[in-house]
Amino acid sequence: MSPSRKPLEAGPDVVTAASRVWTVIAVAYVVLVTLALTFFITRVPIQLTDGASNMISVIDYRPWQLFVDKATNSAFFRPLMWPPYVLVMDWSQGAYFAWFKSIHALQVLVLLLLLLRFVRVRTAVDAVSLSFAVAVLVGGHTFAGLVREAYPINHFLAIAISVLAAATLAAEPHHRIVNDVLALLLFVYAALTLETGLLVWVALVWAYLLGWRGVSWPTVALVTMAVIGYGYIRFVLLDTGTPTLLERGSGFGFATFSNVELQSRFGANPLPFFAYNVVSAVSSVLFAEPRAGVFVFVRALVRDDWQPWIVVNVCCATGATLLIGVSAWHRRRSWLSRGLLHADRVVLMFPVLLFANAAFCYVYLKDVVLSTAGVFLAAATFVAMRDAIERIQRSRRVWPALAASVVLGLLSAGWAVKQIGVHYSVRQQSINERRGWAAVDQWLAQQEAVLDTPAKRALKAALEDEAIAGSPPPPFPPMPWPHSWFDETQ
Amino acid sequence: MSEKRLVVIRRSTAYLPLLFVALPVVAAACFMAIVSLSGWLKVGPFRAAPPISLSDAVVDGDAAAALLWIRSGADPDGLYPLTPGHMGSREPRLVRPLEAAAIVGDTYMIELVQRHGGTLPADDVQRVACDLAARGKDEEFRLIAGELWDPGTCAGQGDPQ
Repeated sequence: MSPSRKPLEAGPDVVTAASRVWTVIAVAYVVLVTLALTFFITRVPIQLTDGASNMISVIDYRPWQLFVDKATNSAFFRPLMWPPYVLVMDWSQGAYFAWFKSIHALQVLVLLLLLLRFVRVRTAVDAVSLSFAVAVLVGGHTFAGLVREAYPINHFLAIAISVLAAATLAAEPHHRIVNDVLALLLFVYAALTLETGLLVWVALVWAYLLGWRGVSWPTVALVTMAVIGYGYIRFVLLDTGTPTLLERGSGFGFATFSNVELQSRFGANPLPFFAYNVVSAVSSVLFAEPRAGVFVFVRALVRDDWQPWIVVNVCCATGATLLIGVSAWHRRRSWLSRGLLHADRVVLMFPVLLFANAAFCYVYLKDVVLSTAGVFLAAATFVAMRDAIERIQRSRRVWPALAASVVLGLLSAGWAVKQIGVHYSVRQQSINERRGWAAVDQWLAQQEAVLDTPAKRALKAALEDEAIAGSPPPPFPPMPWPHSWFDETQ
Repeated sequence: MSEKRLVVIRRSTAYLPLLFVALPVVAAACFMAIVSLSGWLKVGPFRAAPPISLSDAVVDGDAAAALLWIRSGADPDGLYPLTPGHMGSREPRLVRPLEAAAIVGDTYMIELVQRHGGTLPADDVQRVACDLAARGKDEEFRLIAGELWDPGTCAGQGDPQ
């Protein structure tokens, strides 16, 4: 370890005037990235299929009614997913679009600020590494679903925030009662919103085992008891069960299969398919292959039908994984000696949350379900990039240092393409959603949806008016090759 | 190489990884911020030019804008100008919405225009349909020509673009 890093690694309390400057620069950068994303997000109408339809279906309910109804659903246990829709609709007094989009933009800002807080930016190298980590987060295929879609509140984004917030609380240098209270609230909210909300518990337990003491052991124990209680309520008291193969389609090999096809193929013995999904989920985060269970890159090679974006995806993800691997190799001694620094713990959070997150994908695989793992991947790449830059700076050999800098630059350039690509992807979503709304009556007829109350009809009219007459899709620079270089599937 | 010069080179190369890593991602972030600002303020090179007519909206594939034109009284059978440069034409060009949708081969927009009463004059149907057949756009051909024709009847006709 270089002497210059010792004060930094000694603890987060070492904050100097210079380090504050870099923190402020990092905050400004995060705000800049959020503002650009926000502009694109606010040009996407409220999603017709999972956004507006959900709002219409619950507008005549009260929040507590929804809580009880959704708690007794089969397959899923998500009682806190729906009540916020009604609350926000009530508060918005008809300004649905403005309220839901503001919440979405705020969520993105909170996530990026939490990432900044979690990894801690104190130096110029930190600030540069953060810019790279933000590109890895925002440009990653697991992030696109966090900004392209909303239901109408993006719950996967809420879960990613909750888990990262729990880890950040745990990583606080001093234990405070408020950390415990917040950790408990985060767990209750996340676990009752989506199944992946249980990752809050994983984060708290693993953070404690790694030596972070921002959240006390009684609280970690209490959350563990709550997980047992969750299991009892879900599986014994309410008999909610778990999703089956019939829940939805998923990828396998080179193709995506419908739920019925999956049932006929794997229904007799689904365990191999479940194992395939979990392994694919891990591989998807580390190498961007397969995607949602489909080996897109290999298929493109086999069929000689590849596009640059497919290669960029795999190269960037693999490059980031290699970077983390190299960093881990250099840090192995401190890991084995249990002399963990903050940066070591940040890196070690990633594999555990990756495997835990992947486990939730056993029935079906969607990129967005892995968004929490994507956040911790970004945090780990922050440390890995910082290590790489510092090693180059310490190197006494000029040419190898130059070559390594070029390699890092190429990796950064790849992620820059992906960072721009996510904006393009959101723009395409805006176009698609506006198309959907242009045929909303036909879609409602297909769904056999009946708008049988004045409130439902008024809501549909308001959302349709906003989608049709609202702001046009966001602009995008004229390029001859956006379809080739930007991943529209993410 | 002198020790002094080596120190200078090492100091310079210490900044290189910072530059190489930061430049692409920060440039990408700033670029998208400028695009967003341009779109938000409706100024600068990246502002989104709204479609100038119903046919223009159809060419853009902007279903919502097309619907707005129709709801505000635009005749789906009318002839409308396109933004110069659209569909490769530098000259001002008047096109019916349904033909515009057929030329860009957009099935969804063909159906949208037809759903709102858009048609083509009988003389144009064969020309447009055969253009589609020549380009192998069978789905679009069926929507324009209906079930009356077989693409084979277009032999020798059509103007692949």
